[in-house]
Amino acid sequence: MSARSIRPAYPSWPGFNRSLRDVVATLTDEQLALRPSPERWPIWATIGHIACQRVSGICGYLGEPGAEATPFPDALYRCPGDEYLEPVMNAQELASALDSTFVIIERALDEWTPDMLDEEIRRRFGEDEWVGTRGSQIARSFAHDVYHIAELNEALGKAGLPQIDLWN
Amino acid sequence: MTAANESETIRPAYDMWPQYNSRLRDVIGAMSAEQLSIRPSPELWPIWATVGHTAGTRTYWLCDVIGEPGAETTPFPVGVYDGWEDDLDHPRGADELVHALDSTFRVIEGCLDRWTPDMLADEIVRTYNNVRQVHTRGSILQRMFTHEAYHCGELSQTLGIHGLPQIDLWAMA
Repeated sequence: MSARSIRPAYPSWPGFNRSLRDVVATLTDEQLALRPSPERWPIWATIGHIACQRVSGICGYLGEPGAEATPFPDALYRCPGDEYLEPVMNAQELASALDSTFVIIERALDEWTPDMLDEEIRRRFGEDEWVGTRGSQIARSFAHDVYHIAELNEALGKAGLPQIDLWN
Repeated sequence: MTAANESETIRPAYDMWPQYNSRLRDVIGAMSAEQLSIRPSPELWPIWATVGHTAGTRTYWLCDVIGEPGAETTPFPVGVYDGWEDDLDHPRGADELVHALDSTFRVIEGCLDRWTPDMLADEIVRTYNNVRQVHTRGSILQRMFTHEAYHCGELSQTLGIHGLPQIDLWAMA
């Protein structure tokens, strides 16, 4: 890791990913099918959505490589929950998806420098132009992981299942 | 400490944080006392307590632990360790919660404007329950950011289940 990488700004992220992954890997198909309420996504879809949105943000918007090494090569347009609830992913597939998508995050944490974070990036999607920064996308991905982990914990807790412990 | 040039500060690493705070603030500001008293389950805090806890945690870590200025402009002065969530018989209204979020976010804004990437590795010693802990500025700030995203997710799930507007951190304005 470069001394000037952005990793010091996100020191706990790898641990959070590991905690999430380790809980997910223990869940049965029946547990992964639990929904917080009837109209909300089942747990598996929220986990798949977390992993897929990493690829969407970092590869899809910013053009970083690595999407093809994950289950979500077309993440901008096709993610669990957002676009589909079938086919269902099982615990092993979800744990693997968290691992492979986190490789993209690790690379960003190691290779991006603070100066790169506010560089403006423009991408055209059909007639629309997206303008953003690496900083916005990496912070978004991080917050997005945590936001949905909280949702998962609510659902896991209500079902009496082990929660994802981010802080201890 | 004087304000640093933005390109030298840590703001680019957290540039969505002001938006996240305003999204939380705007949803909470529109809620009635009855809605703020909703609990995700009987043993968990009501919404108002989770929001108060989110705001109070900012000044505890940034002002009490690190020594950043500004706690005196918030409802959570330095050295007062009981948060609003510790007094569940005293429900807080939307106006109080919005003020708490706004005033404590100014402390965060100060950090984003003055701290530089090199400062994130500074060691911060905290003694808690007679145990000496060593943190870094970076780990504490990330903890705050994480803490807020976490509670926004938790609140959103509760709000969604009750058919109330959720906190959409990412939607375009």
